[in-house]
Amino acid sequence: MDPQIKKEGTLIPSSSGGQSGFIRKLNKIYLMYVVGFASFVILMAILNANGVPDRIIGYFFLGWTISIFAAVGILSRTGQLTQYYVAGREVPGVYNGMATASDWMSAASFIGMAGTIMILGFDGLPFIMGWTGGYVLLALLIGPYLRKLGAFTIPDFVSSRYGYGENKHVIRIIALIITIVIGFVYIVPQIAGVGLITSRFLGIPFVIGCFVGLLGVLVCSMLGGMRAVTWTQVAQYIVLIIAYLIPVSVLSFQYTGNPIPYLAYGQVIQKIIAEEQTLFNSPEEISAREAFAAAGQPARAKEPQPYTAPFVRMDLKNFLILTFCLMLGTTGLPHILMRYYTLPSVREARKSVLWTLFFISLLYLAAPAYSANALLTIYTQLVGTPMVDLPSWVTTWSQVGLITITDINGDGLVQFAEIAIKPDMVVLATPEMAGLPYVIAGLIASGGLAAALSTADGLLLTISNAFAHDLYYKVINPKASANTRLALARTLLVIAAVIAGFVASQNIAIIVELVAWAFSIAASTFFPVLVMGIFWKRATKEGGIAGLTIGLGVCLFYMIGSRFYGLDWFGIRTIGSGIFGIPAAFLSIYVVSLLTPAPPKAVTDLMETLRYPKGSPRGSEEGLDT
Amino acid sequence: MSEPQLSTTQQQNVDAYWSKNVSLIRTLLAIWAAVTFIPPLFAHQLSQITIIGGWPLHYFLGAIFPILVYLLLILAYWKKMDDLDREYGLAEEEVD
Repeated sequence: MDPQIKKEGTLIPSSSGGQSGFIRKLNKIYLMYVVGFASFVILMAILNANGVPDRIIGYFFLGWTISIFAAVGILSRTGQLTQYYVAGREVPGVYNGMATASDWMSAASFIGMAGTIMILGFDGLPFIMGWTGGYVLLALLIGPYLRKLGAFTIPDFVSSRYGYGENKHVIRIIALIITIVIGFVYIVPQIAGVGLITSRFLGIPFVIGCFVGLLGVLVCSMLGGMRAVTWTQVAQYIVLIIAYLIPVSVLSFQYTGNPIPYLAYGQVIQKIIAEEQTLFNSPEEISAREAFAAAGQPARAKEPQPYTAPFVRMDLKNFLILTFCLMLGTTGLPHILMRYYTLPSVREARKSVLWTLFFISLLYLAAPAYSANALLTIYTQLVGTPMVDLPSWVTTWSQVGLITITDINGDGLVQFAEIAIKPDMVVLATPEMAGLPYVIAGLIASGGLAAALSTADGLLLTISNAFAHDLYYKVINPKASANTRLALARTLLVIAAVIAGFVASQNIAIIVELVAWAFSIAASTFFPVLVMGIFWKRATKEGGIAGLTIGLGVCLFYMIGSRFYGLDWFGIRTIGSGIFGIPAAFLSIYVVSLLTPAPPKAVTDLMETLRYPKGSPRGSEEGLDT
Repeated sequence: MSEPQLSTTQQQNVDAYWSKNVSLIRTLLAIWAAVTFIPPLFAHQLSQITIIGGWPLHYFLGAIFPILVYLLLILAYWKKMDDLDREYGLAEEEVD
């Protein structure tokens, strides 16, 4: 027997006994996992009620979360390349959907998005539409074709389409650089997110929190690559969705009598509208705003805008552009695209996008409900209370600076104008707003941790595979043995993780902004190159290179120019920089392709076979057998 | 890829399949674009209307409705392509 067999973890069986039996086994394993998780939460609640202090419960929660993910990761270890890179191409659509959903939903989606929508009101909805609508593009334009080719990485795909003739590696190298850039700007905030959660809930220093998170990510992904990441991401999805929905359901029930937040928050919005009519121009509010004006803080002296008022915080043009850029960016993110290689077939890939969006929408449809419930709580339970008798959730979260109340007019009461709130506050404080026990706050911490870790897992793998597979194996040493390739992939994983952890621990303010940039970069590079490559046979190597570099260049030029040097084209915000990069990329692919000789027949023949599912590869050690 | 060269009839078959695929994609993307980009243009007018459940219409059309449509679009594409795969004999071999 092959000695490698012993290295295979046995938690997750393989699909060799048939796909339907495989799915049944998976269902059983994850059902047991859910039961185990629920029992753990109940046990914690009992301990907490019997006098075990909150801090200890917090340690239990985070310790349990990290160790269960690590256990899944270790038990899914592998010594085979197809398992390491694409989980053996045997992940059923529904499970890949769950894994992609948690790969996709980051610390920002879990902790930050609801608060952003609360602060931006209607004008925050591009985040909801943009980050879901992208999956339509993925399902129709890219996903099935990626699977049909059956490569290992995104630069693989770009290279087999555009990398021919002389200097065929140039485009692969450009693609891998862009992959690494996107991966790094995205992973650093995830690790910082872990640091934030662990430091807040356990009271340990932020830097140590970052490295704890790093360790969690590493044990999940190092031994088993994509295989381990897939099965831990499924486990992480389950934790994060349960954690997200419980507090908002309770709060929703308290306000409307309906525990299903998706259906109930319309009524909450009605209550918000009613409150705003009397609240905004009450004499107390006016006096607070006048006091801010007198204190030389004109930004806080402005009359607040109603929650549902359109285009008061972002104009229509930026609203539409942001939606568009986020959608195309979603479709160009390598760590998401990569997941579509793990499916057993093209048919399963089409189905899997549906499952992905379904699992994502469970959270995305609930985020505006969080915002509405939290805002109503602020209007009704915080505004008007005496400064000496603030609710406990205010005192808790003001200690870490997420909420600040300044009694500027000195009347001893809280006015709406006197509250300054950070977006992260909303999800973190909702359990306490709903009067839930500390266990639920612990659950939220576990969920946020799961969201951050699952995204970091996928990104780390994307980055290290770009080095190990695309750079080393495909460009530098195509004769490398499977063992060398695996050892190198694992070593690079650790190196990338340590660098990301180090950058995250510096806690630089600009980092949070960078995530949003990743979307415009992906939208201006991979999206046009992949779509043109799939749908236009005439696209050439030179066209592809021009598309990637000009798209990236134009996008970065506007980003950096508008963010740091006051550049302003048509009043478009930095976050919408992709609106310049996207057409630039499409146009340059088109023009340069027409000016250069058509691609060789081998490439157009390959593109022809991508057009139908029949004969899709089941996997090979090369990643590609062309 | 190690597939055999297609004969002329097979090639015509693939071309017909592909053009149906492309026109399906066009139709679904037109719906996608309409649902995403048209309601915000009328947000001010739509905000005057309140629908069942209490949502101002523009808010519902931004936070809930598009997601449901996106799900249906992906479902439609999956189902329709399944039919096309079989109709043209281009489906994958069974995995089991």
